[in-house]
Amino acid sequence: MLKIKVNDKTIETEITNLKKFLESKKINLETIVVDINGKILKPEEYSGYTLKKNDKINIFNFVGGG
Amino acid sequence: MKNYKIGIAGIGGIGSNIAMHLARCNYLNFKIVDFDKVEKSNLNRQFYFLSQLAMPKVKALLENLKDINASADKIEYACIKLDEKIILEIFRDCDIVIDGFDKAENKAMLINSFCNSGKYIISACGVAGADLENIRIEKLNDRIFIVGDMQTDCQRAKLYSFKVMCVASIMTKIIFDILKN
Repeated sequence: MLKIKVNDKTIETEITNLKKFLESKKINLETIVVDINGKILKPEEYSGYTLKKNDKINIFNFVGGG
Repeated sequence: MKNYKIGIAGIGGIGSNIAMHLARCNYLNFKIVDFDKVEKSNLNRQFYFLSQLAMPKVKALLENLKDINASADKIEYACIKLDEKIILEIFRDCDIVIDGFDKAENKAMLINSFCNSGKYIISACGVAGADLENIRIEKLNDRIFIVGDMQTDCQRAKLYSFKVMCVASIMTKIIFDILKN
């Protein structure tokens, strides 16, 4: 099990591929911005990123209206 | 004060009111971009009038800005639908990009497109509903600011001019802080 921080909460996961991890959380990938250890990853980079121990992930989800 | 160029992506409730604030402050170094036309349903919060229904928003907004500031004809505009391919080109010469989109997908697209560009990005998230108490500023990093209550979606709550304009005012204040520093 891999220990990581997601939006300030420590969690454990068996999934190491970022894209698969996000999909497992049932998040709409079209409406989010993902920051890992202080750097924003572009959506096309999700599938190539392997989660590491102690990674700090911030997932910001947008809602509609303007 | 810095003379940064500002790009406004979408001139609905957020974008049209930020443009109005900038024109009233006599800051005209900006560009407005939208493909839409003025509709009756816009008039509850956007800076347009009944006499402008069916006009392209860029034209209607320029007209209104010129009624505030005689020099507003120097404002650049483009009547074009923004997607992830064209957005980089349209705002290439801008130092600050404003998210005036209404769809969540477009908001995320804007930030993801410019995240490594070095540009300032000021976005809105959670502008629906009537409550003003939970409006806050979230900083994703030192150049990306998001204003709103972060959660009230327009699918679930109505849009009110006093909340949308409150968020637009805070976003304008962030622009001014960037220009002053």
